[in-house]
Order: sequence, then C-alpha cells, then structure tokens
Amino acid sequence: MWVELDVSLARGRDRTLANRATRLVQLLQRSSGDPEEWVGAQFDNFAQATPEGNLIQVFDSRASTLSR
Amino acid sequence: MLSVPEYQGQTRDHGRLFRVLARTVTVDGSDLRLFLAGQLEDNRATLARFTEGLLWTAPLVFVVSGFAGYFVSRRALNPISRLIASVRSISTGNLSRRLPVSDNGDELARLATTCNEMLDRLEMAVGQINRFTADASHELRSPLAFIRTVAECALRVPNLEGESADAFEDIIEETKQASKLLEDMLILARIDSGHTDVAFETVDLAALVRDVAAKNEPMIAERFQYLSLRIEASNAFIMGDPTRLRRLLWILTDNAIKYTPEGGSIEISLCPGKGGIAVQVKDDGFGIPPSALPHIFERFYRVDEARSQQAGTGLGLAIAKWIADVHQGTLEVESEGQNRSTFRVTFPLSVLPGE
Repeated sequence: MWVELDVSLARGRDRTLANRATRLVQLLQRSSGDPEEWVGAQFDNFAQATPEGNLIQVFDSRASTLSR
Repeated sequence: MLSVPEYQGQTRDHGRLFRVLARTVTVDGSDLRLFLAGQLEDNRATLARFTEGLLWTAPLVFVVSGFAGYFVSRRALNPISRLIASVRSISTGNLSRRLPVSDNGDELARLATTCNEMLDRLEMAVGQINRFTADASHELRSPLAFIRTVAECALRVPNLEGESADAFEDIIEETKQASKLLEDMLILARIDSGHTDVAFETVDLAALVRDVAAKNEPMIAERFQYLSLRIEASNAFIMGDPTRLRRLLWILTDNAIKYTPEGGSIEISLCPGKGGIAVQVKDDGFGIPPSALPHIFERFYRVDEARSQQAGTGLGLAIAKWIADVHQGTLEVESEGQNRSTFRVTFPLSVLPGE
C-alpha cells in the first residue's frame, strides 16, 4: 500500500510536469516568429503563472536561456 | 546544437529531491531544450503522514479486525457447535433423536442430513439387536426353567447316586446363573428400546434399606460376614419406583457380599449426602483397581480374575446405574486399592416429596 501510494504520487508529478511542458511548447509555437524579447516576456509570464515556474528553463541551440 | 536526449528522472539538490523532465522541441527550425522540475518534498511529506497514520491506526485496525474476525468466525462456527452438541447428546438410549437441518441447503445441512440418514440405519440396527436380545432372553427363559425344574425333580428321586446328585446340583446352579443373566439382558434390552415402565411414588428409603439388609442376612451369615446397618437420615422419603430402587440396593448389597471374603464386614448406611440423601454400601472385599473404576458400570465388564471367579453376569452395575439415572441420582464408586470398595448412590433433594 505504501509503495502503491509512492508510485501513484510520482506518476502524478510526472503528469503535471508533462502537462506544463505541453503548455510551454504551445506557448513557444504560438510565439513563433515574434521578437526574441517578446518571446522572453511571454515565457516569464508563463513561468510566473505556473507553480514552481522558477524550476522551468528553456535553452536554445546556443545554450542561452530563454528569458527577457 | 544541443542534442540532450529525452529524460525523465529524479535528482537531489541541496538535500531536496526533484523530479525532472527534459524535452527537445523544434520551433521555427531551431531546437529548444526544455527543462522542467518539480519538488518531491510534497510527495515525501504525504508519504510520511501516511506512514504516521498507518502506525497510529494499524494497531486499532488489527484489534478491530481481530474482534470482527472472532465474531464472524464464531457466527460461522455456531451451526457446527450446535451440530456437535446435538451429535454428543445422541446415545444408544435416545437414537430416535435427529440433528437439526437448516433449510438453506449448504454443506452443513447436507452433513446433518447425511448424519441423520446414518442415525436412521443405526437406530434400525440397534433396534434389531435389542429385539433379538429381548426375544432370545424371553424365549430361553422357559426352557431354562424347564431344565431347572427337571433337575430339581430328579434330585428328589430316592437312592440317587452321589455323582448324579452333584451333576443335577450343578445343572440347577448353572440354570440359576443363566436365568439371572437372561433376566438382566432382558431388562437392559427393554431399557435400550425405551420400553421400561417406571412408576414413581413416595418411597421410604430407610425402610427399603432395612428390608434389603434383612433379606440378605441369611446369605451374609452363610459366608460368616458381619453386616453393619446405619440409618442416619430421618424422613428419608423420595419419589421413586420401589421395585427399581429395591433392585438397585439389592445389586449393590449382593455385589458387596460376593466380593467380600468370609469373615469380612459389610456396612450399609443411609445418610445425608451431597445435596441429597445417600445410600452407601461399603465392603471389606478385594477392592477395585483405579484402572477399572471408569469402566465399572459398563455392561459385561469384569474387574479381574479374582473378582471374576465370583458368580455374576457383569450386568448388575449397568442396571444399577440406569436405575440411579432414572431417579436423577448419581451412582459413584470409590476403592481403597486392594481391600475396600464403597458404592454410593445419592438421590438429589429435588426429587424429595414437597420440594
């Protein structure tokens, strides 16, 4: 029972992270073609509005973080 | 370009546990690498609360489930206990009784039905044996009486030679024993078949004890034995069958006389006993070994060779026990090893008149 609860909580956490990732991808796709600063501001808004938003990071191909 | 593969796992940072998801997406032709993390501290706290709750509630759950299990099992086993009690209450004396059969058709009902069918067969078989014993005993009485009469007549013939006279006397003695055995078997067969008439009336136990002692005096004198009679209970009236009670006292006294050597003493007493009134017959005889005491009231049980040398059917004490039982009395025996036996029949106060 204890193990089942542990596994269930971990799966719940994974689902939450996957949903956040999906919403983030949708945001990035919607911002496609927008100026980099605008995209950074959108991401910051997203991070603020999301619980544990400070634990989300996006790197581009130059290893730079996406932020305003 | 970053090419970190898709990743999902746990990591620890400053003692805190995190769940991490890494994903690569392509937006406008460029690859973006997403890292999302979530604390697992909440999960750990939830698990800790759950563990604590378990520790607090587990003993209670164990106790409650233990009691519940006990009551459920008791409830489930109750029918079996009733079945066992019913089976135990059935003996050769009441083979007509049957086990209760529930109408739900479960395994217990089928078991009870099967037991009842077996009891039907058993009752029939025992009935046949009882009828045979009763019929045989009844039918053999007349020829035995005839043989005894003929032998007694032959003994009166004048100038009968010594050996012939001895032979006729042996015949008379053996027919007496055989008649006694048949009579006892007939009584027990009637007891088993339930065809016994017991007529209760007020009986003066003191008078009965005196009478039985007096009638046995010639036999006691013949064996040079000493009889002591003590009547210590006044108003010793009980409700009973005088014929049966006389037979009970006769069996106990006759046994005492038979198993007491010449010159020995026999004591018959009537005194207040445990919760009633007791007749006690104490003999100075061979005694009864402890191993034999539990079987002493069984049919055809003879204690040992020394006692078996005495004439007897081995049925008297079984009959005496039955008579005590139908009077709600108890028949007990005590023996002091090799030289003293005491038979005590106690009639409860509840059967005293006016009680």
